[in-house]
Amino acid sequence: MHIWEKLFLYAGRLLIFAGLAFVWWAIVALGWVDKLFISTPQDVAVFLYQNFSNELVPNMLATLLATLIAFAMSGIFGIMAGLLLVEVPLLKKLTDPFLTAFNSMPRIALAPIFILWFGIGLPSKVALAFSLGFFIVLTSTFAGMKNIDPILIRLSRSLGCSGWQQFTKITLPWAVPSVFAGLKLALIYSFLGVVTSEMLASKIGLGQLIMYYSGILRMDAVMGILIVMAVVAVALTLIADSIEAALLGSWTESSASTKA
Amino acid sequence: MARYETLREDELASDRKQVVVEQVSHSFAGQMLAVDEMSFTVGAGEFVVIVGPSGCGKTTILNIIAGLMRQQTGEVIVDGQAPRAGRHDVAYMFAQDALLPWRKVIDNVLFGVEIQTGSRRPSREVRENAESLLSMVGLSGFGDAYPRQLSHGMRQRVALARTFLMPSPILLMDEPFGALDAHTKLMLEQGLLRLWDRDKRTVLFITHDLAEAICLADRVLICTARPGKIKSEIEIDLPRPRDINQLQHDPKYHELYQKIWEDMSLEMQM
Ligand SMILES: Nc1ncnc2c1ncn2[C@@H]1O[C@H](COP(=O)(O)OP(=O)(O)OP(=O)(O)O)[C@@H](O)[C@H]1O
Ligand SMILES: [Mg+2]
Repeated sequence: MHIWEKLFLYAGRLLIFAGLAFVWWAIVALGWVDKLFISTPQDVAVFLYQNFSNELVPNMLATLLATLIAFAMSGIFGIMAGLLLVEVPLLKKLTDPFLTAFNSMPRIALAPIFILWFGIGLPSKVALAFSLGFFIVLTSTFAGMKNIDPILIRLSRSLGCSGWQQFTKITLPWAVPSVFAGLKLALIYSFLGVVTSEMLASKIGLGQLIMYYSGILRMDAVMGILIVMAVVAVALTLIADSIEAALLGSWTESSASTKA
Repeated sequence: MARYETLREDELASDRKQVVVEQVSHSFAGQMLAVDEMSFTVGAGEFVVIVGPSGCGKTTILNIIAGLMRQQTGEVIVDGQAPRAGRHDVAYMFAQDALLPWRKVIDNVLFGVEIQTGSRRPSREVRENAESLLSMVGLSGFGDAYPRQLSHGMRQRVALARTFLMPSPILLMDEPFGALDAHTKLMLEQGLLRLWDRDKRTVLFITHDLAEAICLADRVLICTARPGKIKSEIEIDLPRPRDINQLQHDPKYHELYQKIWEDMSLEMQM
């Protein structure tokens, strides 16, 4: 992409952001909506500035830590379980209805159970986030291995690949893009799971902070924390995208050509 | 077993048969026969081409010889043994390119040898061989490209180089040039002839293209419509080495073409 095109994109995005902030400011200034409900951009800015290092950063770090632990566990166990189900079709058949049932359950309903089991703290947040991320990674790993082009299996057989060779040289690399897509999704869902758990019961974290401030009707703080969450989510996505591009850029279509 | 013994005797009697197909029939689950008592042989170092209407079981018979599937009745013997997938003395090139999208072109070319030798690091000689095969198929300079950056025909040429890099004495080729334009096809046919003149491998080659069959083959086998069966066999006694462009001016070539065409057109009538 050309530098001008890039510059245009960033300037344009900034302009949209400024426009939204202006509308927000205007509807309060014109008296259309009471400040009590949506606060104002300037109050939010003041809140963010004053509470950044003492309150926002420690809470954000707590949320991020739980997110990353849950993500790492989802990745490791999700991939392993996905591979296991591919390699042992009987196990897949046996567990299929249970996996489906668990995966279609609204996970927020599990949060109180996790809090009961693990107490209020890091483990219960991680548990809820893991219960989301694990299935995402498992499903994408399984699907990636299963949708392999049959001609490659024919090639493998005609060349006399051993089971291990076929696995490491053909099926595993074939599944990599699909596994990556699953990991990216799992990262965002881990964040979601952690914040949800924090909102229900927690001592620290962005979710807990939002519950506290909305309880005392401090909309400037609530809006400010929402903005911090949005920034965190975007940053996580960008990091995941650039890792993916660096690792697979050479042969997947998804990276080089289509990303902004 | 008894059958096997008699075949061994046949072998000793005439020149060595590397591929023997005897009365092979096959039908896919619950359908009518796909291959019906097909019999033919391919001698060591012989170039045999099978032509026949679409769906007559050509790919099926090649899959059986390659050991990828088992025939229901009849006997197949490849270099004295029953077929088995993954034998190093048999290389199989499919109608589809079957390249690995995450490997560069050169690493795709090396893939077959890599599996056969079990070593990720090819010897210097093999590497040079791979490079020269790439330039033979008109792809020198594309070694570092990825398959998705190549056209369909270019990918098929990579697959050809991969097949040829394997030192297997028996080559099974299923319409390898079917998807190529006339000019590329001519170039590759000429290249294939050159390679064959050099190593005299045993080739069993399938095509729809009669001109291609005559240019390449020692013998052309004509298959009936489904269920497939060898209907006739024509010796191509054109002198070797052959120059495909020169052949076009040879009256003998046109005579053979006419003969096969007449045989085939009987089969093509619906
Ligand atoms: N896996 C399969 N299951 C069922 N029927 C099959 C299968 N593979 C092939 N057939 C049938 O067997 C017959 C022979 O198929 P085959 O692929 O060997 O034909 P072919 O001669 O190679 O045709 P073409 O020239 O079009 O490649 C066809 O009529 C096809 O419908
Ligand atoms: Mg076929």
